[in-house]
Amino acid sequence: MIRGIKNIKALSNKRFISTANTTTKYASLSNGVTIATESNPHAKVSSIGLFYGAGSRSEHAYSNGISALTTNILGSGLENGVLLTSENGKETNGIIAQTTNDNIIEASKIIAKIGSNASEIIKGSEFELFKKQLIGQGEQLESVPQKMILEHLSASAFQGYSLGLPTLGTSSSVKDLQVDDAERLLEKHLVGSNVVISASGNINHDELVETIESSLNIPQGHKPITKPASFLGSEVRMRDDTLPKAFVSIGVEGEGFTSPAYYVAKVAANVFGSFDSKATNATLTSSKLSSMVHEYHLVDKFQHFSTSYSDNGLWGFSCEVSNVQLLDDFIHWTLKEWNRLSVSITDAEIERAKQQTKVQLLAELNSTKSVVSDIGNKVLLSGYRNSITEALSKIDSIQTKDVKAWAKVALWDKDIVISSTGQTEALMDYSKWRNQMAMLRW
Amino acid sequence: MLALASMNFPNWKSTRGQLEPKEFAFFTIEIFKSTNMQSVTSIVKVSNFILSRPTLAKVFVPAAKAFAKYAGYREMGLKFNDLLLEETPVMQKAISRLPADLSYSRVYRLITAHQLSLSNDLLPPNKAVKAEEDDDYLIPYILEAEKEAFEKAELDNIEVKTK
Amino acid sequence: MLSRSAIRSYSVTVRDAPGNLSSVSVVINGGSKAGKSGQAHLLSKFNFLNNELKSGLRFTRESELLGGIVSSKLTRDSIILNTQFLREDLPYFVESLNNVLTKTSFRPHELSEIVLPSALNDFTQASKSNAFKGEEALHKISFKKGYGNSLYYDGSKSFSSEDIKEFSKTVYTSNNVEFFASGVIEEDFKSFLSDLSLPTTSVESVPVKSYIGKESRIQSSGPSYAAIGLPIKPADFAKFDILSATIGSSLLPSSSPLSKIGAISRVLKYKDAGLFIVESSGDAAQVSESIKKAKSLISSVSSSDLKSSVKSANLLQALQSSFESPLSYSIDESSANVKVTDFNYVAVGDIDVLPFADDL
Repeated sequence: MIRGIKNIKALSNKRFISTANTTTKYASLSNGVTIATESNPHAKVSSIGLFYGAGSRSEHAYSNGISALTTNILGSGLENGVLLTSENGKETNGIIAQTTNDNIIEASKIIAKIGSNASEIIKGSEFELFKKQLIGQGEQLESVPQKMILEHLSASAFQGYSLGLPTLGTSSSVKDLQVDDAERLLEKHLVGSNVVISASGNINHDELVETIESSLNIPQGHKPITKPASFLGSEVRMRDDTLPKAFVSIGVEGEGFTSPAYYVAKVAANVFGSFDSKATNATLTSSKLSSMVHEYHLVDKFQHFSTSYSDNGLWGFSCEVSNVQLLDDFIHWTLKEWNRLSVSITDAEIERAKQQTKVQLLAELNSTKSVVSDIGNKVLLSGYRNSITEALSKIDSIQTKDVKAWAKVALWDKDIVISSTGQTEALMDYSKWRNQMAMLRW
Repeated sequence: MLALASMNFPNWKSTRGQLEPKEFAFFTIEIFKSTNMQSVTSIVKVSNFILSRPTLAKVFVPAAKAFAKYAGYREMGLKFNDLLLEETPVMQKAISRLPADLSYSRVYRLITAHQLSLSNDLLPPNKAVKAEEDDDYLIPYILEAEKEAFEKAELDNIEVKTK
Repeated sequence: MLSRSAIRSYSVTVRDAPGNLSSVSVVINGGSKAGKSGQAHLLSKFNFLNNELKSGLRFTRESELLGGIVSSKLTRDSIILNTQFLREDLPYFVESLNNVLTKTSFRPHELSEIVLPSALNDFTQASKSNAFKGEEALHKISFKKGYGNSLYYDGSKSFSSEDIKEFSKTVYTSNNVEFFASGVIEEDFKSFLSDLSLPTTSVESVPVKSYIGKESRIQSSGPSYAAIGLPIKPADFAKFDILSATIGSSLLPSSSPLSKIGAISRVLKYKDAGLFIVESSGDAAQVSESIKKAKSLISSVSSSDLKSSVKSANLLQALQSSFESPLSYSIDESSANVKVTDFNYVAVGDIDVLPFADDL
């Protein structure tokens, strides 16, 4: 199967077996709430989450942060061995309860209670304290350059639209939030067809559905319409010479959850993958980009990503560079490699990226909490969740020509968005990089 | 012109340092140029072939020894391995991997040769490098670096046949 | 489904799991507690590099072509080799792990070109944090030897690749490695493992000695850090899980007595010992306040508070437990009695402001 590798015996000595993946069981309640569970007999911790389709995208500049704030208030606490945490996103927010396996019914009752009495819980909460904590969380994020440039990347890419608002709000918008704002949010978004309850662990589906059905009281209602968003080629540069390095991220408009090219974009990102110049495999790893940049130490770390929202996404890379005067060399070679995706990418590179995408997809679901979050987000944003088997066969069916076709449409000569901080003196201007998105000849 | 140099070459595949050096023949730069041979690896291969054939060895080894003797670099305080072109990535890697003592003595020999060249002089015969001192200290490192480079080129260009 | 047995005296834990992902880990009882300071860290970096049968380059390229994720991690207890891959590639990865354990080449240039820069980077990055420095100091004063060794290689001592090879021979032995395979069929795994032949040598087990009532103070720039630490026995893990869950654990983020005063607690669990830590970091004056309050809080926990946290402590244990390092002691009300009187103490940062142990 693989030519060019001499010691082919070890590689081809595969065992062909098929195994059933864990199946997700679904149920719909009379009020429209979807319940999805996945049983995992080996789990030591079971998780159950209530996800609803509200996030910074459903806010405006003055209510920015209200979804995160409301969810943080609802999803916090530790009682009787049930730990409540929250998860904040741009389009969804979730309250997750984690507990030992024997306690899962108790946890689902707590989740149902929170869902049924959300507005009362907010009213009785230490609202101001949570506001302070949320501002702290936002400041924490801004102080980590790697995370900060990604938040600003989407802020710049979707500027003028609510999708560009920061997930956790800004310190000034959060400061002015009122309990009323939270109540309005819950009234509009915490409605039957906009709520998914997902659970994973050593659990019994029917028992769980019964518990939720009998104790959850969420009004019926339609899923609010997703606010529009459109990608704008742009740049945001937050030069800060006090930082030790340059941090840069460049992206193009990516694929949404429902896009047929969702997995193609993931595979394309894995063609270049990630790189850490201090890892022991830095000189050995497969991507051509990493061999190019390693020898001259052009970059400390880079990683490619394909982030998805419901109807669009961001595809690109972020990097950190301590050799700041050579920053433009690294970006030059990266964009040249991106060009190659449209014209001369090889079968071997695509094959490797496909295998890596498959293993990553499986390895990411390594805790009941991450499974719960994956189910909650995908069901809310695309209306369904692929079974793993379906996802794997979709990735398997991707061919080199599919990736090239995608790259020609999504990457070749397309507008980019640039976000940077740190010592960005040597970062060339926007038009230089925009021009590198295509070649005059190859 | 076919000329040969005689060298001591340790069998590279086993652990270095514990091996018996064995004598082998080495084609000189002329052959290297005229036959377009690309790597030290291929030269070592030819040399080993010559050594494995007693009839060939009988002719080439004495000729190689004579060539090395009259080439004159030993009177400049150099070993044959000091003469190899070093401005290539493979050679740079090989040289950088020399143990500290070998690296130091290499630099010392090069400085000696420079000084002799400047003063238009030769070492007195008792200080010149002796034939038995003219070892292949660098060859094993070149072979290893070349092997890595070949393997990388091969793996960078693998092809996948999809079922 | 879960079985534990010894083939050729290897300890093997296999579980079949649904799905296409398999993972095989080797846990080698030879973390930084073993050998000279830093040796284990360097050894962990040599894993998956050149071996007699295959170069590190070829292995990396092949395993990436199969989509595999491989890592070699270091803890105070162990070196952990982890591989994750698609189910059908089991033979390839078992063979690779076998090569790592028995055939690694330990070439001198790999030490200088790959291993040392990577190891020293781990150390420099970690040492930027005063919390890391404090945790290291706490281990040093609590255990001195073994668990008191530095976690990482700090560059002060020089080792040759031969030294690391010799060290590997003392820890890569049949009675010192444990295999954990998930998502594989037991017979298959064992048949692939039958090719492995590791030397059997008796590893001398040094009894863990711990010390209480020590203090360490390190002047350092950056946010200040102060911690109270208590070396504990594995038999007492349950008690301290309960205490940690009661006062506020870093694994259970929620409003807790400790979080209200700006501190948090952790229970580090090793094979033969543990370390209970209550820590605070930030502005020196604030840390001083927090650690003093934390001290009085620990000594004033009532037994009814402890009893009501048993369920939370069970969750804490479940969150810390993993397939490769399972925790199985039981936690119930009988363990809800713990008194902390004597302890060790570290202060890192602005030590002119941070209190002494006597001041707490």
